[in-house]
Amino acid sequence: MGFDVYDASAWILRGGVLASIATMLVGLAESFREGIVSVELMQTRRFNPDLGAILRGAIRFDGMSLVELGILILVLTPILRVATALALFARERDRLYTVIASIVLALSLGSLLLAR
Amino acid sequence: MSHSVIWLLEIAIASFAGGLVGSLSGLGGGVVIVPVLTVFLHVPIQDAIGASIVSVIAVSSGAGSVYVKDRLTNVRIAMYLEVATALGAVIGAALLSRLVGDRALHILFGGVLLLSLLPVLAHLGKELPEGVKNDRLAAALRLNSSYYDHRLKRRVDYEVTGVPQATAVMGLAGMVSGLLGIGAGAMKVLAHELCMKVPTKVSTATSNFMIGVTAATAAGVYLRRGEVPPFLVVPVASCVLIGAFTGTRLMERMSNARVRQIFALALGGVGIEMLLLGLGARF
Repeated sequence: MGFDVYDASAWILRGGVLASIATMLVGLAESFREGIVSVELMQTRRFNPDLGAILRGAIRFDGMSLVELGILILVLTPILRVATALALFARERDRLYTVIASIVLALSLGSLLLAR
Repeated sequence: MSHSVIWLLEIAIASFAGGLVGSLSGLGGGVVIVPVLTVFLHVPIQDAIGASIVSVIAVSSGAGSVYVKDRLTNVRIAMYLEVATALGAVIGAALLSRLVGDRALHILFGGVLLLSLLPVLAHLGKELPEGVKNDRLAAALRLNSSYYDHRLKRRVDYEVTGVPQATAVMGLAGMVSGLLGIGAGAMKVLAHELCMKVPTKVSTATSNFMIGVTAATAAGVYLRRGEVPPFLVVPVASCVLIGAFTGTRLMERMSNARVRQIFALALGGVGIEMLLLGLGARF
């Protein structure tokens, strides 16, 4: 048995969650260095849902933007896991589960992007 | 300074416990994180829920990666039931949210969870379900599988029944998630345990796996509304992850009966929490 949907899911989930936490911790350390972290700030700052601003900030190595990027990676990890399963089911020509995974991906991406 | 260090330490301990309970029970961990953050650390409830829903994804991905690698998760069951959950969530968020009040829903959900505790308690000490045969849908979807039980030191083959009922429960679970913005992991485990009658460790692992997708879609809403405090997420998510990895090590060596006892405790906890929220407790 080769690389199957179990192995692929394990890799995506572990890689995603570790990348996310690492990015967040770097962001937190950078914010400490910038001297802007306090208990008050930890409770009052809000996630700013502006994708472009987060990416530009992360490239500038801005602490808070890196934390936000880490959160985005975390949220996208399970969705990426579904997309990978879809690709593997399709490769194995498992028509039933290719359809099932497509529906799950479409619905979860749709509600992630559109739900208010 | 010393005050904020203690505050951070308390958050770390609460989050570690949340990840531990979440990965052991398949519930995600919000049941521990939200009340501890609000009651003991005086974090406003919206912030606690926002940080919790994002951190539940870390529990699901961290614990999920271990369980799926060890083939404890049933990926086909997860994928099939995610259709029902995702559909339910869309319907819940789009249509029902205007019809049902949040508080009534919390009470209803809490009541349902506490009632469903009864059948769980009825076979609390049982190790493996017996005499379960695939129903027609399970056969068509090839849901039966096997896993290696480290406690029993043997491979356990299992079949799956009650798929239509489980589908309905998962649809409801999705609606509850869509309406209340929670992972509704308790209903996922219940669908596996009570409807499909799969071994408890498989139901915990599979619920854990599925909850990430539900939590991710719910998290999208919180992020857009600006209800996630990013700097609070960092300690919560990282400590939750350590708790989750620890939980997987413990769970794989536990008996199915023990895992079910932990789930029953957590289920009672969520039920009471939901009732309290519905009755207007603001912690």
